[in-house]
Amino acid sequence: MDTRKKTALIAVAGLLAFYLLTKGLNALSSSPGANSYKSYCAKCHGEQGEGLGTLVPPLNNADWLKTNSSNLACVIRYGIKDSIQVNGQWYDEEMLGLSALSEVQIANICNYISSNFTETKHFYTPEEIENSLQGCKDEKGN
Amino acid sequence: MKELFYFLAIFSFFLFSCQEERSLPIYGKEAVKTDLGYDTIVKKVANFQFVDQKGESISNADFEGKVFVSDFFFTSCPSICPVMSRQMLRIYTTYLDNEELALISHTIDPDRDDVQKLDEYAHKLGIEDNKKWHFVTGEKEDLYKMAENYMIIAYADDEVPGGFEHSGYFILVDQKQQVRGYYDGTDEAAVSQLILDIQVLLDGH
Ligand code: HEC
Repeated sequence: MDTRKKTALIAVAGLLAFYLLTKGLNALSSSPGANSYKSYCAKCHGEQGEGLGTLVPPLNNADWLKTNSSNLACVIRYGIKDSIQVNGQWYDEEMLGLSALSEVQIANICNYISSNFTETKHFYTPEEIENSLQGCKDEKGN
Repeated sequence: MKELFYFLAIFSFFLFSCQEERSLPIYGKEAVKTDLGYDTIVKKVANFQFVDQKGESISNADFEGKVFVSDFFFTSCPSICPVMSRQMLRIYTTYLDNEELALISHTIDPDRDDVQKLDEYAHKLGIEDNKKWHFVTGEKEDLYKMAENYMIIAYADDEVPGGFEHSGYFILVDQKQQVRGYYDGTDEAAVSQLILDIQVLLDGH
């Protein structure tokens, strides 16, 4: 009887510990950037940034990001229409801009992408985001 | 002895929970007046004939005895269509080896989406043949009538999902061409449910 009680207690404690651990891990992984990425980008680009066939280009390890890191904020706000080449593959669908996202949200998404999908893990400061957005706004002439 | 009791208790619990099968509603039930009073009939999916991405003619007969998922999209739609395609692809890969499950995606922009355009789109998703997933085009009027038909079936019921007309919906059809469910094709959780419900129909419930 005693040993059975002990086993039960250990089992309950184990379950509790497991529950708290998973909750804690969840809290860690759901930074604002992670949440925004999931809600606004993953539907097309995939949770792991893997892309979708040759319809939507990947973000994970994408050479486009290396050469266009200062463009990322602009892509998020204004989208892209031209055909582009990512990791040797051409993509010619259009991405619409997500004009409703604030600069802070854009910065969080950029940093999420940078730290999860690139090797350089470039950190985007809010000023940098603001500058790039200003730049492409002027370019678009609006 | 006690152990045996516990074992039996747990075992019968599992047995019991297995038997509680999920059964899916049948949409499009209508009361009809007959000589004897009222009877119910079930509206089936309307007759159709379209052309798929390989130029083959596709009609109801091709889905006879199969479960299928139907949706409406167009290839030059940059907003929700890639999202829906990603979810359709999930269904496709889950049931890749099951020939009793098929998919049909209708374009609502047949002026632009001809056979070749649809085949290109399918290829972009990695779909090379037309064994399981048909991307179909046809007369604009027929395609719109088809969408309307699915809508009428939904509205014959009280269990109408809100905003069906805004589309993006995946429609689940059973072996008898009766509509068994409407799911938001842009919502991953809804599509996970659809994937489970397909199995319920394949198991013959
Ligand atoms: C509705 C689908 C869709 C959504 C949502 C979407 N994208 Fe895109 N994205 C595309 C498509 C399609 C392209 C390719 C555009 C082209 O070929 O001109 C693209 C291209 C890109 C590129 C450049 C190519 C690459 O992969 O490196 C980046 C960067 C990018 N998207 C980031 C984002 C981010 C960040 C978000 C979320 C804020 C997002 N996208 C949301 C569809 C989408």
